[in-house]
This record gives sequence, structure tokens and C-alpha cells, in this order.
Amino acid sequence: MDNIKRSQHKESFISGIIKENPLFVAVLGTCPALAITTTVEAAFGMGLLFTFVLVCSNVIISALRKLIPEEIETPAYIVVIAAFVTITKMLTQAFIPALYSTLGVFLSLLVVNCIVLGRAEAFANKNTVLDSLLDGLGNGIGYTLALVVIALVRELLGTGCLTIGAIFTFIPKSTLYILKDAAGTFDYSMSLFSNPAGGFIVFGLELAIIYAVRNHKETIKKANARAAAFAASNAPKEVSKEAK
Amino acid sequence: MKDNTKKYLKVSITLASICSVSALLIGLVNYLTADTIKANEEAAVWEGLRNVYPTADKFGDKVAVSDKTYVVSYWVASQNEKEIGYVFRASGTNSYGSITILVGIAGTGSFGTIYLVSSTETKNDFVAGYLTPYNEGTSKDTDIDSVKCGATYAATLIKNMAYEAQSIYKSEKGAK
Amino acid sequence: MNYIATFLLAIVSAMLVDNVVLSRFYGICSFIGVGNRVKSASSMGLAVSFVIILASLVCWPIYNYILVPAGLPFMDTLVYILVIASLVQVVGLFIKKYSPALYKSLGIYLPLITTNCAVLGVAQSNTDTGLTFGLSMANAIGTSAGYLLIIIIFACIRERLESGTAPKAFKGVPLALVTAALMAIAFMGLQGIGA
Repeated sequence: MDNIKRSQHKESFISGIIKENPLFVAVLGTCPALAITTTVEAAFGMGLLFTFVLVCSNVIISALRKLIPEEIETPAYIVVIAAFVTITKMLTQAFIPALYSTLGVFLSLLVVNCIVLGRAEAFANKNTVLDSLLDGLGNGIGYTLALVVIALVRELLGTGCLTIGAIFTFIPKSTLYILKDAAGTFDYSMSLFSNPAGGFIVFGLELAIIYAVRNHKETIKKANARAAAFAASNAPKEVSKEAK
Repeated sequence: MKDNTKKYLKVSITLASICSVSALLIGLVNYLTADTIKANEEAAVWEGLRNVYPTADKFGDKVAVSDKTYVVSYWVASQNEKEIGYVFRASGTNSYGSITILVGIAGTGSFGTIYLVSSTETKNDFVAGYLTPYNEGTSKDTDIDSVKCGATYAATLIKNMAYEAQSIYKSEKGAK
Repeated sequence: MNYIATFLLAIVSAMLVDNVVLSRFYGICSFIGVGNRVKSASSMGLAVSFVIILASLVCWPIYNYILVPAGLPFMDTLVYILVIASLVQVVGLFIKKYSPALYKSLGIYLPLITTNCAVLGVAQSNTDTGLTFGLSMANAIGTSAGYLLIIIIFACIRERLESGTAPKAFKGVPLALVTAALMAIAFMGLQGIGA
């Protein structure tokens, strides 16, 4: 009993990261994925705040799931999520003001983020608090990973260098120059990727790569299944022949 | 009928209580963070002042300016008790939102560094593309006419703010 | 005269230059999921456009005449989303009564308008940036027109793409995103208007 529970907890945590990644598999919550991913730091910060909001709202909604009547489910969830988003906004404005000014209105748009509302309605209102917390954490980590992956490509190709410390000021500001030289003697960065169009391109290509990998895996699985079925259908005939 | 009213009552009470608890929580966090936010904004303005005149060691008290379209206040920057210039804070709104700058004016009205305090444009890359070359250039009085803000603001907004600051500076100096 | 010019310029800017979907990135979820039927896409676009204008019309006065004087500017997100949710319900009831065909074609998209980033995004950014009422409405009108324009163009393009032969990995969302990228590049050419 204990083992089953533990594996169920692990399942709800792990699935949000890779197998059911909210951005790359379910393709939800795409607005910040295109708007905030111009720098890696901003993407990471957005993912962090998203995880915070998701975990908090999942926990509270799961704790209240028996008290909320079915007719007012959606407005109640929206109120809870909006409350947490406002709290996050104020905390960010107070303690990480650079992140607040970078994210702008997209911090408020976490209220209508399809993932937060979706996990609340699909998972949190049917499962225990611990499961919902793990699910929120898993989805949050998966979303952050996805955002950072997109932002890495965009910042690297778009500005030629990776900068940390601009937003999280407790890290000393350091820049890693790759496609660009610090002195400016060569500059191979393509500013297209810092533009909105670049966001679409990078997201689309990364999604296509993931679909290609998935299709490939499925093809292999199907081929294996067919081979196994073929082998299974051949074996009894041979035995019967030999028996004769 | 009675069952219906009881159901509606339960539904509205639940929703109202969730709303009020959320509102209280938000109010509590606001109460806790309001001072920090204000302190952050003050620190940002001071950092801006230091950016415009890095050599200044003292900034005079903020002087509020009224009845002007853009400029809201200014400070007198001084180094070693000698005045080296004025820093004007100007705010303008356009179809996209507001932009706030600090512009330094010295001497007989020549333009100095422009520091962007805040802007709500979607693409904030105009600092690197337009403001930084202006700030690093040597002929600011002619360059001011071509400081562009980017595609979504009228490029003349910053220019207008700077010229208004200059006219206030000249009138202050002339009155003295 | 200057006021009218600013108003029209604001509409054009919100519609074309800083396009709501391709540049400001609101409303992407519905944009990707709009499918390839032009008719259903246009009815959804119309509904969203209407709600955007209505929401901005209602939210701006609430913020400036109720929340700010009461000293509660931080309650804006909560109030806006509740207002938008109720507006969508009311609009749905209206559509159900006066045009059942439209209601049927909207189907599941109607409650999804509540979670459309464009509606809350425009309402929130209007008050976040301290615009006047006229400019807020210009922003909202430009945003709805831009949204409608993009949705219809995109649905038409996707309808053509359906019969094409794309690589298997690109079928569906990745192809839509690359198409959107090309549209965004095209709209980038309109930058500089309003300079």
C-alpha cells in the first residue's frame, strides 16, 4: 500500500517534467513562452514565479476541494489563482524589482495561464494535497525547463552572448561571449532571434524536433510490436508441425 | 423551492468567503511590502541621478515643477560645492504607455546624459540601439534631434521632453 | 485635430505596428488552436474582439474611479478577471438568445474567451501604463481589429496548408508556429509608423 502511494506521488511529480511537459507536449501556456524568452534569466525568473503560483494554487484548491460546490468551481478557482498572482506580483515588485519590470504585464497574465487553471480543474480538485503539490512542482519544473531551453537558443543566437546577474542582482553580472566578441571585433549574432518572429521560429523548430523524436520512438515501438506479434503467431505452428 | 434557496445561499456564501479571504490576504501582503516598494523606487531614482552626473557628490533637494507638459521635478547636481548641472525628471505618455527619463543639462543649456528610468514599451531594446550611442556620443546638442525611441513611440517624445527641460533650465538661469 | 490624429495613430499602432498576436504575444493559445475553418475562426475572432472592447470599457473606469480613490490599486487583477468572467457569461447569454447559430458554432470557445490573454492583457496594460481613457479605448479597438485580422488570415493560411505535404514532424502546431513566424516578419516591416 505504501509502495503504491509512493510510486503514485513519484508519478505525479515526474510526469509533469518530461512525459507531459505542459509547454512541449500539451502546448499550453504559450504566451509567456514566446514573450519572455529573450533572455535566459527572464525565462528562469518567469518559470520560478509560475511554479510558485502553480504550487500555491494547487495546494489551496486541493485543500478546499470538498468545500467548493460544483456550480462555482471555475469562478472560485479563478479567485484563488488571482489572489496568488497578485501576492506574487507584490512580492516580486518588492524583492526582485528588475524581474518585475522585465516581466511587465505577463506576470498578471499568469491568472489566465491555461496550465494553472487546467491543472486546478483536472488534477487538484480530485487529488490529495500532497499529490497536488507534487504535480504543481513537476509541472512548474517542466515549464521552467522548457522556457529556459527556448531562451537559451534565442539569447545565444540573438545576442551572441549569455548574461547572468542582470536581473538576479545577488549574482555578480557576468557574460559569456560566444558568437560575439567583447571588444566588438566580430559579431555573428542574428538579431532575428531577439525579435518576436524569432520566438515563433525557435518554438516551432524545437516542437518539430520533439515531435520527430516521438514519431521515431513510436515507429520503433510499432516495429517491435509487429515483430513480436509475428514471432508469436509463428511459434505454435512450428511446434504443432514438429509434434506431427 | 426551499432547497433551491438553500443551495443558492450555500453557493454565494462560499464564493463570498473565498473572495473576502483572498482580498484580506492580498491586503496583508500589500501592507507588508508597500514600504519596500517605495524604498526601491527611491533607490532607483538616486541611481539614475548618479548615472547622469557620476562625478557629483551632492544633489540638492528635489524642486517640483508645475504646469509643464512633461517635466515634473529637478535636482541641482554639485561637486565640491560647485554646481555642475541640473537633472530634470520628465514623464510622457504616448499611445503605448509612459516613458520616464532623467536628462542632465549644464552650462548654458547644453544637453547631457539621458537616463531611462522606466518605460513600458514592449520591446525595450531601444536603450542599446538609440540611447546608448547618444549618451556615448560627443555632439549631444545635435544628436538630440535624432534620439529615437523605437518603433512604438513617437521618436520625438524624448526630444520634446529634453527641449522642455532645456527651456526650464534657461528660464531658471535667466531669472537668477 | 491633434487628438483625433493621436487616437487614429494609436489604433493603427495597436493593430499593425505592435500587433497584439505577432508582436505583443497576447492570445497565442487561441491563435494556435484556432484550427483551419475560416468560418469558426472568424466567429471566434469576432466574439473575442467584442469582449476585448467591452472589458477595456468597463475595467478602466473601475480602476480609476473606484479602486484608486479607495486606495486599492493592487486589487486590479482580481477585479478585472471577475469582471471579464461575468462579461463573458453575459455575452454568451446574449448570443444564445439572439443568434443560436453563432452560439452553436462558437461551442467550446465561448468559455475559453475568459482565459484569452488578450482580454486581460489589454485591460491590465491600459491601467498599468496609466493611459487616458481615450488612448485606452484606442488601444482596445486597435487590439481587437488586429486580433480579428490575424485570426482570419491565419485560418485561411492553415486551410491551404492542410492540403500541402509537410514533413511529418512539422504537421500541426510546429507548422503553424513557423507560419506565424513568417507573418511576424512581414509585420515587422510596418515598424517605424508613428515615428
